[in-house]
Amino acid sequence: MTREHGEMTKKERIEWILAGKPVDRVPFFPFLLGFCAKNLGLPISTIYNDPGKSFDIQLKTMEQYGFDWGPIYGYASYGTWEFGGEIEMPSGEYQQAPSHKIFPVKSEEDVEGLRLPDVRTAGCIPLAMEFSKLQDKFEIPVSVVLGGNFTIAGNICAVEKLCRWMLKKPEIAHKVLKLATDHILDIVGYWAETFGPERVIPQFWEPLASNLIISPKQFENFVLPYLIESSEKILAMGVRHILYHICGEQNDNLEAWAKVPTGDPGLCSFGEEIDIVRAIEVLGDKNIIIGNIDPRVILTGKPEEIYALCKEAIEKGKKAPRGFMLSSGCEVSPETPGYHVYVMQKALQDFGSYNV
Amino acid sequence: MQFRQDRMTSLERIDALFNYQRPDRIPVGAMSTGFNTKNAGFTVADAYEDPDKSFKAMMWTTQQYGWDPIPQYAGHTVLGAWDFGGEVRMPQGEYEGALVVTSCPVKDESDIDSLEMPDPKKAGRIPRAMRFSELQAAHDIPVFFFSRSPFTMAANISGIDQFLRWTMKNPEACEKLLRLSIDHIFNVLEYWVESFGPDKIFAWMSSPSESNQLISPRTLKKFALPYHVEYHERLEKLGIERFGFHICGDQNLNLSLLAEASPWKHPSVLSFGHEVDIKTAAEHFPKDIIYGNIEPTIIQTGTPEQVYELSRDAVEKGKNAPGGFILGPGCGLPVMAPPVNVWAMTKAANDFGWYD
Repeated sequence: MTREHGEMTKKERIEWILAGKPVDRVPFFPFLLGFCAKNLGLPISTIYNDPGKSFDIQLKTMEQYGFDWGPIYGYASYGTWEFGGEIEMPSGEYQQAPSHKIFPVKSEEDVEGLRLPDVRTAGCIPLAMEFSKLQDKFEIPVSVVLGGNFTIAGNICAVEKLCRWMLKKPEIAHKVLKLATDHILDIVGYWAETFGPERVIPQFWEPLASNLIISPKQFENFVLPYLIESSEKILAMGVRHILYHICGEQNDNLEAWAKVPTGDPGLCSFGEEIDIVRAIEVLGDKNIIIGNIDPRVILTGKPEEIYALCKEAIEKGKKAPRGFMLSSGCEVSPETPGYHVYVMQKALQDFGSYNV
Repeated sequence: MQFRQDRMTSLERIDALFNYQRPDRIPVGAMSTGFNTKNAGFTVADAYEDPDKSFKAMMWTTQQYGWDPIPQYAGHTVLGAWDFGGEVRMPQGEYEGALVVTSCPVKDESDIDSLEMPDPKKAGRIPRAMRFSELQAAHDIPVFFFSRSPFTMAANISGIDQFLRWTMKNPEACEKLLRLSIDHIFNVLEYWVESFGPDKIFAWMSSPSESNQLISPRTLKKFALPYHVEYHERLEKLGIERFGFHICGDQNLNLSLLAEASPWKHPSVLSFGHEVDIKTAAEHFPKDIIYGNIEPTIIQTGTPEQVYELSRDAVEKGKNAPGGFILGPGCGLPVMAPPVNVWAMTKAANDFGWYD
């Protein structure tokens, strides 16, 4: 048994990094959900349909692997169910998260009929609220994990339709984006009211805004204004920190992302497509940088490759002025061998200290 | 949670036990093969087919779970069935964790006289086991030589049901198979001694077919015990100092006979299933190191809390065993054991196993 490298508790480490104070070592930030269910021998759907069990199995897995941040509730297809569509809980060998079954908007006409969801009852929100009450009870950051504005919009009407409308009927695209933005504000307001704004660190995952789907120009016109609007209003509520998961290939969007207010400090997590050095250059003066080990390598790579990637990320990340947290670049696959996740923890023990 | 820092290496800890000295904490071990390879992202079959992968997986998993290197082996004379010309197949599907005998070399009594002694260097999986041992020697860790007890191997040659019938109706047939088995074990062991020298070898034996679920103490005394005595006479002649014995299953009714004979050098490691209480084991074998005995079924299907509680109980009972104690599962670690349950044993050892 090896004593964990460092002298601070997890809670202290997170509180200090958020307060802009120096920490003993790079914190380990979790981005694994279905993996936790498998780690306890439970179906992956438990993570999404049973908040009590979900919290417990994440907490146990995070203790086992030495993660510093606490459990979260959320998934990338957020928005479909809440706006009246249907999702499917993960089942079978390869599904790792809820997926879209029926989108609430199938045609242009449906957009007119869209209404803002009741944030107390819609979709997964009651489950997420139950989960956040456990976060609060255990004194870990209270998250509300949502898609970013564009991702929620894409989950309402299917992203291919949203992309077509951006080109041919931009006013419809804007209408859906506006609804997504208003919903974000409603839900963060509900969380702030329930827990106090200073306890809430909302997480917005924005995979659909990647440059594999939209151009930087489209990002400027259709994503950035809404991100700025919701972020400004959330910070005005008294929320201190916002976490954006800038998912996938977003190199061409980075400068635009730097215009989004995220709090003091904000938190930005990145996929393996964004080099940590560039992330620090563009966003590091205002944000804690989180990332970015390729989950495919964590799943199928050799342990020595994972270790080397972590070492490199830690060495680059340690130079981040507002701090760095080691994490996977996106969700760790539930099928990932346990040893591969342990290798990340080991790299952190070997290279993560700020005292050497 | 933070683990306390070890003050001894694993090898120092085991040496301390063999010298009747108190280690820094109780060691933790596991009889694990398929669990290791699965944990490392390989297949369960790799544990038996690919010694290089199996060895890597063992080293990695041992480090990850804070285990001490006891026992660590790739079973080879496990299956008298294979070595003597029968057929086995690799584990398949989700739940199989070990080799499966598909055809025993002895189908009826007439087959016994035509049995030939296996080539001690080439039969069955011996070449793969030798490669595994070479890797152990190259890494300067104990070279485990694993065999079943002569009784168990003999039963594997003819099939357990037939062998048990012969203990009542045809004892000569049993004696022939027992003689062949013990001679084969030592032919292979001599090859190991030639290759590594006796001081590097840690002999490990298991005797599942001697459990009282299958045989009476009278049968043990008549058929199994004489071969245990012979085994240790021959082991001593070879100059092998370290021995471990997995007294598998419910052997409560055999304990007095084994204790009275106790033909092994003291201390040896005596490993018990959950059926034998740790206190009872320590009372019967005060000069030996007691190992065990967390129920594998609970490790596989129970909760982490249950495993932790069983481990705490075992540690508290075993900690003051006069010959020392090692925490481990009561039998082979199931391949489908939820990792967090396995980790619960390590956690309990950290929480309750320190000697200061």
